[in-house]
This record gives sequence, C-alpha cells and structure tokens, in this order.
Amino acid sequence: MSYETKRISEQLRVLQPEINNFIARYNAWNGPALGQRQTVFLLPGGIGSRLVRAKRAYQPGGDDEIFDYEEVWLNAASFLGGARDLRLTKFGLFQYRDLGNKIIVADGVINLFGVSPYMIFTWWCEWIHLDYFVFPWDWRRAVWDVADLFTTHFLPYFQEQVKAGCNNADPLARFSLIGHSAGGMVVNWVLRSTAPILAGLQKVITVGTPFYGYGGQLHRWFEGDALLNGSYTQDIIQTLCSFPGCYAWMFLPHATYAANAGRLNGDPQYPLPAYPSTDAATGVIADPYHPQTNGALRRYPPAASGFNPFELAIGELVVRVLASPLGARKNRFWNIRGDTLAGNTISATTWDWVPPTLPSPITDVSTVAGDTVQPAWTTRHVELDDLGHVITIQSPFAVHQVLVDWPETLAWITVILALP
Amino acid sequence: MAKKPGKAPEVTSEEALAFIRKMQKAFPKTPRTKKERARLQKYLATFTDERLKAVGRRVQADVLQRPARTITPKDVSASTYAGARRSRRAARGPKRGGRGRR
Repeated sequence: MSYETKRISEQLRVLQPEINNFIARYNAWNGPALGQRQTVFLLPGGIGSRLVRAKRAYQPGGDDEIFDYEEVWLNAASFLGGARDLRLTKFGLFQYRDLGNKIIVADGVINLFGVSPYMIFTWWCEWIHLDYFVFPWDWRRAVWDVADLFTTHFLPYFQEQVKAGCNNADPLARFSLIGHSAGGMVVNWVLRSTAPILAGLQKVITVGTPFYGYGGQLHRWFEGDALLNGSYTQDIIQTLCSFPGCYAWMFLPHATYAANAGRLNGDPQYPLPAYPSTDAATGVIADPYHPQTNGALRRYPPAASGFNPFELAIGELVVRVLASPLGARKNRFWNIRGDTLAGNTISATTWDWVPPTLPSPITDVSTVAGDTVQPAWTTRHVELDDLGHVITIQSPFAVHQVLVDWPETLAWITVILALP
Repeated sequence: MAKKPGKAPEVTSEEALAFIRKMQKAFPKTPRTKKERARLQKYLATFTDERLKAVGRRVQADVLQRPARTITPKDVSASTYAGARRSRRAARGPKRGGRGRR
C-alpha cells in the first residue's frame, strides 16, 4: 500500500467514530418534523479542521498497521514551533508526504482553550433533527485533492456504512453541502463534478467563501504568521509555502478580473472598482499569479524560502475553475456573505519588488465592507447575482469565524434547504 | 470583534498576540517530552478559563486568516468609511426581505 493509499485509508478509519455518531442520530429520529429528510455535510473553514499526526512513521509494506495519533493542529504547542510539524514534502507530481513520513489526517474541528467553531450549527441541526455530518479536511492540501477524497473515497464509504447501520437507508438519496470559508472552495469544486455518487446532491451553500481571493495570504509568503512564528519565522514560512492549498487563496488572476470586471464593479453595495493588487510605486497591476520581474528584482521570495512556482501555477488553475461559469449547476448554488457594517476588511494591497523582503513588500492599502477576513466583493460568485442566490448578512456580529453559527445564517440555510 | 452583552470580555488581536508572545518567551523550545508538555499545561493553568477562552476565540479568528492587529481608522480611507456609512444606512432602511437580498 502506497503512502497516499494508506493516508486515505487512515483518514476514513479516523472518521469512523463520527460516522457511527451519524448512524446513531439517524436511527434516533425520523428527520425534520416537516419537510423531506436529507443529509447535510458541513465542511469547516480553512483552519477549522483539527489535524492529528501519527506517532510512528509510515513504512512501506506495513499495510495492516494502524496508527495512533496526536494532535498537531490546533493547540498551545502549535504556537511554540509545533506548527512546523505540518510541513509537507513533495515527492512526485501531485504527491505529497507529511514531515518524517508521519501521516497527518483530519479529525474533528479545532478546540483551542475550550473554544470550538460550529457548536451552534451542530446544536441547531440536532434541535431540528437534521441529519448532519461535519467533514473535517486537511486544509493544507489543494482544493481538488480534498474534493477528490470527499467524492471518490469518503462518500462511497459513508454511504456503505450508513446503509449497513440504518436498515439500508441511503443517506445520499438527498443531500446538500455547506462550506465555510475555504471549505466553500471545496464544495464549489465538488459541485462541478460529474461523479455518479453526487446524483442526489440538492443544494450547495458557501458561507464567507472567497471566489476572487483575499489579501491575507500574500503576506505569509514573506512574513509567516505573527501568531505562529515565535522564534521560528523562517521555518514557519517554509512550512506555509509547502501547503499547496494556500496557493489558491490569493487575489484573483488579472485575466479573471478582466473577464468579470463589469459584474465585480456592478455590485451596488459591494463593488470592486479596480484590480486589488498593484505595484507600490507605479500602481500598475501586480498579478499574484503572473509575477513580473524588474531586472534582478522579482515579486516572490527566493526558492530557498520554500515558495514554489509550480504550486502557484496550479493555484491559478484552481482559482480559474472556481470562478468559472457554473452552467445549470448555478441553480443549486447559494452564497452567504457577511458584512459587519464596520468597513474594516482589508481589500487591496500594494506590492514592492524583492529583494529586500524585510520589511515586507506587501502593504494593505484599503479596507471595505466584509466579515473582517473576506471582503464582501469576493464572497459571492458573480453568476448568482441574477438568480437572487446571494444572501448578505448585515450585522456587527457577522464576523467571519462565527458566520455559520449566526442565527440569521441558520435562518437562511433553513430557507435554502426548505426545512421547517 | 464587538463585545456581546453578557459574555466574557473579548480580547483584541493585540492582546491575544501579546498572550501568545509571552507564552513563546516562556517556552522558547517546542515542548515535545511528557515533562515539557506537563510544564506547558501547568503554565496554562495559571490563567482563568474565561481568559483562555477569550484568547482562544480571538486567536481562531486571526491565525492564518487576518493580521493580528486591530484594523483602525488610520487603515481606512475616507471613501471606504463613506462606503461603510452607506452600508449602515442600507441596513437601517426598510427591510427588503426575500431571497437574494444584496
């Protein structure tokens, strides 16, 4: 069994207790009091999934080996250099291994100092007897990679297990997907799949999900993360650069902007009047996916930092797909976005040439309405404007990390899923 | 994030960052052994649950998501504030209701 096959097998095994919980809930109630029974999968936001790391290294040939795991994301040690254990190593085309060949899988949602996201969402699902499953995912990996794991491996396994435990009831006869933040990028990708197992897919809802990028990621290639760095800034930068998933989180390619400029600027409340990434001195566009050079100067840090131009190219393809037309699928697609009414979400950055990389060449230059992380102009697919499938939650509490748990969001999910 | 009535006081991004930096100073090396991890737990136990939860909420909002600093008026251009004011007026206006409220 290859490393990748073992990782997938272990991921499914680690999810088994939660599948058992789903089965127990399914058998304990008959679905919502009114309305048809359906399964809802929630994919947490980018950092919201708890990651656990095998205590022993994978060894080829150890097919029957079952690993014990310890938490690697997120706990106090993550801020003390522990986040370096998340580093991925590329060992082939689209093949990645975890540091020291110690398999990392997703197991539940994060709990830092007793605080976990999505508590209200799951309580609400139980209250109305909605059959829910929170699907934790490895947010370091690329959107297409996670979507493939979900569609090709998890869903058939989940269906088989639930059928066996619920008198042959099919949990995928009618089901919907909700993706928070980067989890919405995964469900957007799944929506575009033609896999037969998705035949029962009803609605796909994103909550606070960027379609056209945001300003936070560019900083990290140069600065790491203020909370994680500690005395390991260079290691943290290298670790973050090793995550293929992060390369799809930057501001959109200029070609995608140009193709959608009219509709991006045409949002009456949340327009994007100009390309959000520009040169610090001249104001000309500085496309993160097509970095220019200026003599010996360039846009990105040198290869020694771990920054990977190949992953950048793949990241662009991912962004282009996720922003591309949806065809008839758009009728099943809904976007919920937040506006805290404070106008304090970073919206545009300027970019200086490197070297030097210190201080950072990236400067935040404007803020707009949004949920404090994602500007409101990025959290809806422009094609949905005409369908009325874009919902904006306007509240001082419509903050990114709690947007799924906010009562108005739950009320809209009720409407979209036709729940009582 | 705005304070919620009746909830434990929230901490700012700067306060959460200061908390983490203080912890990083106390533990310059990644705790790997049982003894080192026990020392970390002992360190955390010196804070109240309320304090830890407030820091946990703020850190979850900031880590790998946004700058660990409060966005202040100096970050915001005059035109942006005008946009925010328009947004607030729209929010106070008559409810348009129905699907697709934008």
